[in-house]
Amino acid sequence: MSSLLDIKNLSCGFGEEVIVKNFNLQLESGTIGCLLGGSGSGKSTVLRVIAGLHPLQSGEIQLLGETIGTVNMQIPPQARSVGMVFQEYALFPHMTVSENIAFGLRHLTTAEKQGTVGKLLDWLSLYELDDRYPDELSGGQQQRVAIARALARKPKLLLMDEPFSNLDLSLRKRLASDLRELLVRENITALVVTHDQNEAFLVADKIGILHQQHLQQWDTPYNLYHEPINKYVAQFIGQGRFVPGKLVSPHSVTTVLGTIEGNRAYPWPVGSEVEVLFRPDDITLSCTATPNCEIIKRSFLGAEILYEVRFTHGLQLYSMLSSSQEYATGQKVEARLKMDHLVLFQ
Amino acid sequence: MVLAPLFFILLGWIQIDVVIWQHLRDTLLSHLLWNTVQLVAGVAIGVLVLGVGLAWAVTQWEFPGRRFYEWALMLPLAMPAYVLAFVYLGLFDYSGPVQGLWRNWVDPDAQLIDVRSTWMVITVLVLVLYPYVYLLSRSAFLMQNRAIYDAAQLLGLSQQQIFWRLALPIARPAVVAGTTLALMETLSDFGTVAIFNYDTFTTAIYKAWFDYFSLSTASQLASLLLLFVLMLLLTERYLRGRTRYYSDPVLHQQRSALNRTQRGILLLFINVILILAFFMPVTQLLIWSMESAQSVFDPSYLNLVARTLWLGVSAVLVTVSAALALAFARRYFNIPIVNHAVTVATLGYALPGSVLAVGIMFVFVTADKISLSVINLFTETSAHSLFMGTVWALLLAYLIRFMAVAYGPLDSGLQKIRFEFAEAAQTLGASRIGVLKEIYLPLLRPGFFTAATLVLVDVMKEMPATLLLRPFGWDTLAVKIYELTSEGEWKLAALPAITLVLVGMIPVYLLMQRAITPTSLTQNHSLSKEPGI
Repeated sequence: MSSLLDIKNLSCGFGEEVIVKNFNLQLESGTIGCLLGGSGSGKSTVLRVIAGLHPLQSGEIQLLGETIGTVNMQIPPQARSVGMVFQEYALFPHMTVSENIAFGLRHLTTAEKQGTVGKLLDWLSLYELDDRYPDELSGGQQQRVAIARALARKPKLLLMDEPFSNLDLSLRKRLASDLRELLVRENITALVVTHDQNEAFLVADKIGILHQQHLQQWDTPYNLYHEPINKYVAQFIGQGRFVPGKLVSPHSVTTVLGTIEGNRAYPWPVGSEVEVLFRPDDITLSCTATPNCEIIKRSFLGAEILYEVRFTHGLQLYSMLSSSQEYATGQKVEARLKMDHLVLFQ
Repeated sequence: MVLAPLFFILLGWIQIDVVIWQHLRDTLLSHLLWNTVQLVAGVAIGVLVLGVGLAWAVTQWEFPGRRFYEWALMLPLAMPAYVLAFVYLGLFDYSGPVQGLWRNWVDPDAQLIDVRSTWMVITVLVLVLYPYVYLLSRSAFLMQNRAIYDAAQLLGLSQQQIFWRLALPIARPAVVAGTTLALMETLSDFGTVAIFNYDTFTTAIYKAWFDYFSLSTASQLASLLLLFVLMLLLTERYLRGRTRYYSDPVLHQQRSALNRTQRGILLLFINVILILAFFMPVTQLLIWSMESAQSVFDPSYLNLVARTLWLGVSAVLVTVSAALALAFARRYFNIPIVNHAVTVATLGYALPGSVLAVGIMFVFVTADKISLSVINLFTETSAHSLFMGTVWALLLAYLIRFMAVAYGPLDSGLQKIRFEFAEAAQTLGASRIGVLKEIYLPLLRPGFFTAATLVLVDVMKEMPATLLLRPFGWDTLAVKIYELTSEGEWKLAALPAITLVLVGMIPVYLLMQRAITPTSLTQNHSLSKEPGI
């Protein structure tokens, strides 16, 4: 199956300044992608380039196999079949909810417009709000109007720039999974930009990490966590600590915590110095007669508790345990490794 | 366009009309300078005391009718200074009703006041111009964090010390800005000083042109006046220092109560000011208008109003579209050269009308000379003027002088329209024209309305440039007032004057609506239209 969106070797920035380069990404039809990165990483700029609102410096963008943007040829935004939900939504303040949603439907008759708008209002449970003005809506309602407005033209691709940034924390989680449900139900291909990895995990099928001008990894959330491609991604996604070790075979490594066996072979020669990634879920704690570490810090997270432990040889690691087991700070416990795969970096 | 007249004014020094200039220097110059210095100093002290004092009173104390007085104190802004001037002259002149009554009832030989004194000119200007200081100081006081005062009180400061050591220094930028505005108006004022026969640079410029027909002398005087304006602006910049508007809006501030005596004194004072500056002159104008209505209100008066409106509307069209172009240029090409161009283009407001008029005359006379010499090479016609004395000169003057007035509301309106609105419209299939038509124009409507109203009103009230540049027979209400009052026809001037006062209430009303929220006040165009303020 060919990709709906295909970005090849894209570079973009402001004037001479390059913010993103060698950017490659394929988004399959019906999937939800997410660009994740800190502020200034260029994620929003990439989105604006795809929408045609910002020029690119090199590379090519294809939508459904058709080139929509190169350095020399840029189809204007109004002629691309791309919808966009802006950060803070950019709802037109002088138009009602219905007028906002109908804005892109100028080519339709009044009856057709009403039909489309009505369907969208229904979909997004906005029916009673149709003649309100944007400033009379809550943040979550504004977001739904912005989505409806972008979807009204039936774009091939929906772009969303920080769709949750101006909602309060408690709303974000719920709306993020609501959004995913809606996009999946309507089989909409979308590319979302966010700086919050929790949002990304809730919404996306595939996540791309942007850092220092490059797309570091474009993969499923599971793989990003369990198979990070480099130390940056490993650190950025989830917690973790690196412990020095030595490769004893392509599959195994020895550290101060003993020899660990992995499930895949690393190409480096036996005896190379490596760093081993330890995730909090790689370590379990138990109260035994032979403790090897001490709890130095604990953070209660509800269903789970995150502990930081110090081994007798000075090494410090995280351990995430179910809340049903509880240890006090200063308590001596025994840590055991529970790793089914091995992530090594040179 | 702004720079060309300035350039020509300075060029005027090349061609010195020796005889007139010597005459001027020997007899007039020191007189003009002394008069101007007196006037500026007097008005400065007056507007500072009145403006800051009243602003402090309405922001710190609670008294009956405080809300009413808070906005009523802005009303004198609607009164053109020259209108108040001729009302006072009519009322208090030796032959006027007040002194007449005094002679009849008290002392047949007394001359109560000399109306044509420096004091009267200063009083009239202060009564009309103090609202600038009042408005800006009031918003500055409102924006001061009440917690600072509380802290000061706990540190042992009295109310008085708090005012002098905290409130006033913190409000200094606003106070200085307001005073500068008032003094700019003082320097460029023509009508008031003309009515009181008080010689300043503006009246001298007028005389140099109409009595001596010497454009070069007029321009030399204009450049001296310009020097004063420049000094004023530099002083403003210096006094303001590096402080910026202090905005820490704490809206729910507590006003302290006053005891009965204090309340009485304060109310008496505020009412006296309001009566002197607004209610008495308006009443007098109404009485005079009634008395003279039959003789003034005829087709020729309607014609006059129509002319004034026609001129105003043309100026609105020219100025607002130019300002809109500038505002869009600045939005989409935010580069230094465009920004500088915008700054220069909005500088015209600092040019006194008479200076501007002289500059434009120079430009047009030169353009006439050049184009006519070209035309006369080819044809036998003996046309002597293509540009000078046309309505274009006047429209150009309005454009330059009121560009800032139109630019302010349009620019601030445009800044409130986020770029994303245009982008969102584009991703929804709107073309460039569609974006303009469906997004920008509707959203800019309030800004358009404000800009157009302000320009219209300012053009209607404008006197010196109109007087100098108008084509033959093109009178406006303001010019008519000048002509009638210079012949002592107060009663006949009352109807056009009351018309102007009513028209002048519109911007005051707009201002008051904005003043409800103090945070938006400092951004208000008509107060910040002054460059550098």
